[in-house]
Amino acid sequence: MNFDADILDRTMKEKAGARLEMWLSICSRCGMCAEGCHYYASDPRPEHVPSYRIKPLLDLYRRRGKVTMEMLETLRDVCYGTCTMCQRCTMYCPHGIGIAALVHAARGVAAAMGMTPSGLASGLQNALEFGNNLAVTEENFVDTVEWQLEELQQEMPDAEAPMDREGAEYLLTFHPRDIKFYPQNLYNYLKLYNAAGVDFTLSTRAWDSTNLGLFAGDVPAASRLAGNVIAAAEALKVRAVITAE
Amino acid sequence: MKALGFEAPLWLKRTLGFEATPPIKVWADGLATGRLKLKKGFHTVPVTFQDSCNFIRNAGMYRQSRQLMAAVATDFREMHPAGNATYCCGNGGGQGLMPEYKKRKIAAMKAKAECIRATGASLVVVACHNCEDGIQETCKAYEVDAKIELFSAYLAEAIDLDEA
Amino acid sequence: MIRAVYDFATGPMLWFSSAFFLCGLAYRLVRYRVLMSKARQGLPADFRPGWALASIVHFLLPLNRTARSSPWSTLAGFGLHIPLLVVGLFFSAHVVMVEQRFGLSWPTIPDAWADGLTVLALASLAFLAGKRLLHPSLKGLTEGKDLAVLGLVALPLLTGFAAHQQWGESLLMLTLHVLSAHAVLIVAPFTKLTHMALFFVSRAATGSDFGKREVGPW
Repeated sequence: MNFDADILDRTMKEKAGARLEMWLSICSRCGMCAEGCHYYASDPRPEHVPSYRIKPLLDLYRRRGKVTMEMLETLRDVCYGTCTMCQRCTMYCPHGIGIAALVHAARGVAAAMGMTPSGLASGLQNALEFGNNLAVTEENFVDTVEWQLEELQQEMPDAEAPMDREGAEYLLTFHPRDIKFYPQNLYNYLKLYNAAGVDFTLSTRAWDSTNLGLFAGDVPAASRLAGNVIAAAEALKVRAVITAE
Repeated sequence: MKALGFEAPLWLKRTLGFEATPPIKVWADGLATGRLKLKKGFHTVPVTFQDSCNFIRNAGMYRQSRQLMAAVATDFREMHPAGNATYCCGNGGGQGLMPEYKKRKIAAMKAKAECIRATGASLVVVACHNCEDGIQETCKAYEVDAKIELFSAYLAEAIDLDEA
Repeated sequence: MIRAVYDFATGPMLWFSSAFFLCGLAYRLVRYRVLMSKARQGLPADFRPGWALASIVHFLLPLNRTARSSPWSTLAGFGLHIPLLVVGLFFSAHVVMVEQRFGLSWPTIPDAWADGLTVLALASLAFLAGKRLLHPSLKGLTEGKDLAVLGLVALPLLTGFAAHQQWGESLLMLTLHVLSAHAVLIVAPFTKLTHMALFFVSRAATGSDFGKREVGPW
């Protein structure tokens, strides 16, 4: 398999910010971050020491212009396959290196090379196309909300779920599976916010605040997904967006 | 949370016209101001809490989460380590959508499984959908006898509607 | 011959290495600043100095989780860095040299302390190198460079100690000591030794970032 060296070079240049440069150069591979990682705690192997995860990225920069497909595959498997980007290791690193941020950058390189793992890539594709990663339509969403509101009103007659109400204090957003698979979750959210007397609204066009672009390291896609919610929130002039649980 | 709260301004190179709020904050505010009425001691089952990286380590909701738990649970048990230093549920960073790496993911959940087992809790409350799946898989793979419930469900059950 | 090298190394070369070292570190810091402001263009400043400072303090003193989770490595870390700073800056011969070349002077520590601290530093280095070579998980992580840097830092310590103890030919030892110290100064800005400056930047950045979430990364 071949790859486009120009895209790689451009992406690496884009990613080479102040922190990336600093962190790649000061990591001393002292290994104290190992205590921070649940991969290491469960299975203590060299590949599970967090600082190992930044090596493929470091190698890419060291061997700029002479990168091989094999190096990119290693980078993909290490950075997608052995990290949840939970940032726990940063709390153990004496230098405070943001290893998750570096893994994110490394995933970004893989994503730009079209190497995003397929499950993540197709979820992301859905999210970009439908506004949520489970491909729920707007009609479906509105129906589900109405259905759960009716259920809730049996218990709380005054309960409401205002749609697209400008000037509300909060915009309430969800994980798409709250709508598609677990409408009971939606019921619980509406119950909590109604019971607490929170001034909230829902948005018909941007109700999914999860961001697979962030996981994939794909900043252009992540920006577009965040952009949906941001545009809706700003149009509704809310003070705050309540993110998915 | 992380995307909208911290990353988006950097991606878009502008400030946003609103702030991103974790749900826990809104619930804890409601509890503190007395607007959200919860039945004290409603839950008696031994319970522990999975500190999600999104809301605890990345949004600083440790204190708020414990205030809410204390309001409704009579037998709350901390994992060790807990709070900002807790182990990841194992399912973060999109691990739920990458079957090719599932074996490694499950292997890495051992640490968390032992933490949960050690509490002796029969219920794990989770505040994040990724954690929900992660803890579910953890308990299943390592035969930890505990149920999993979303924080919203756990609190919604305990809402005191009569007093409202 | 050795005398000529020694004179050069403690004379003109001292100016060169010091200048190179300071300019190199300054370059790294300025470069960070410039790249950072480019990335944050159009965004308001949201740096949290209090959290940044707290983050630095928690790691300059062993008040952090790492000290508890890796006590021996932490001990070795302090055992290496404190002597490097204290002996480097306050050993009588060093202060005398600075006074002669640059006309500045400050108090010194007793020579016996310097000996003790140097032994402590060498023992710490040996521990760190041993851990690198023997620890099953660290072995796979260690690069040749990592050991080379440890070795490079050990050289001036070893030769300095030997010279002070009058082992071997003292002028030769002293010359090797000064030359190896120059080598450390010259490579510092471009190896992981830059952490002597960037440690503070990185800790501050992470402290501030976590501080925005009211979480202390320590």
